[in-house]
Amino acid sequence: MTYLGTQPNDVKKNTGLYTPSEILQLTKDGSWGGSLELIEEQTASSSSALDFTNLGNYDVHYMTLDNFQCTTSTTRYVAARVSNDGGSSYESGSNYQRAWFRINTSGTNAEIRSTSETSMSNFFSIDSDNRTSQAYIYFYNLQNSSKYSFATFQSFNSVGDYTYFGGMVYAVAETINALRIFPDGDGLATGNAKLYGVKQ
Amino acid sequence: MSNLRLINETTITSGVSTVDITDVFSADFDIYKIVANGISTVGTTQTDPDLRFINSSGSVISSSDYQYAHLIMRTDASFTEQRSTGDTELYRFFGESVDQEPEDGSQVSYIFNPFSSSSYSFAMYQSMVASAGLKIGMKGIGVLKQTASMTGFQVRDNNTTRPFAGGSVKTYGLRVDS
Repeated sequence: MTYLGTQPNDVKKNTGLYTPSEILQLTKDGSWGGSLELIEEQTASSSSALDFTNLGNYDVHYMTLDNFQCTTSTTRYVAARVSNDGGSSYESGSNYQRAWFRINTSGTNAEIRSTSETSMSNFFSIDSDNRTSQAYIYFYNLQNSSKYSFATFQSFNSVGDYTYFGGMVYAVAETINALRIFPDGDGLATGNAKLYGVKQ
Repeated sequence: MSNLRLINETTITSGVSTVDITDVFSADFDIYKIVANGISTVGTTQTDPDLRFINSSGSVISSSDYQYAHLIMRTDASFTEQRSTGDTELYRFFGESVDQEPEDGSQVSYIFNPFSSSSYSFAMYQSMVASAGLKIGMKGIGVLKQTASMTGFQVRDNNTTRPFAGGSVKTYGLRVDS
């Protein structure tokens, strides 16, 4: 939706609150709508992975990962892979890179970096105790065949109580049309993932 | 209805070293979100894309009133801190050195109180770029230590002679309940 405030392109001055009649009129005018558009929500239940095979048509995507737990007590890393064939397969070559910082609630902070990863690894760890891990992630250029795919993220890792922030790259310029969120072993006992398009 | 309201979307045209995005900050919102995507350069000579604020008179603020602190995170080498208490822009606000496609840069940031005439303008930003074969993430904070009302901002090629080839910059307002 275009902005409706007081600036030159505004349709109607507002502070972000609208009356029902204004909403009806703006809908009629085609000026009503959100700027984050939910594409798909998936909930894990003893799942090996969460696959998003519909990315809509956006240059920037936003994803939230919430309430993630593992099916076993073994600590597992939750990562992402991209697909260029609509989800028939997911890229697992060493074309991913990462650079993120880990802040520990007690202990030493750490730089995590690599120029040769087989996934965007990782957003957080999980296990099966009563604490869950969560993250938000921005993906850039996924659907642009001439650009690399980037991600920036921040997360809370409940296995050890860390926060992570940083970035990942899939350093191949090609069209990505599916995303997979997965643990590096066992399965996802719980987890809710929402994929949004950032409206253009 | 989203609580995130798109105010402006600007596509960077090829060959420019500055892009002015004006009349986006107003009394209607206190907090703004910027999503910049695919900022690239003409040719393979890299540049740092910075931010300068624009005041209500349309003047680009270039005085030494900017402060910033950020962590540069490379995939191939140790991370480095970078900071300044008297810069003429928010240095590397949109990323640490962008390059020719497919090596470009993307970021998300938040601007706080830019329109207020009684508060400094604060920022938080996070980016990821590919440049000269390197992959570099960054997260930081910045402030313009002026209380004048700002109504826009400029995306700026730090070198001034290494123009941008493309990219998009979207500015959103975060809903205010009153």
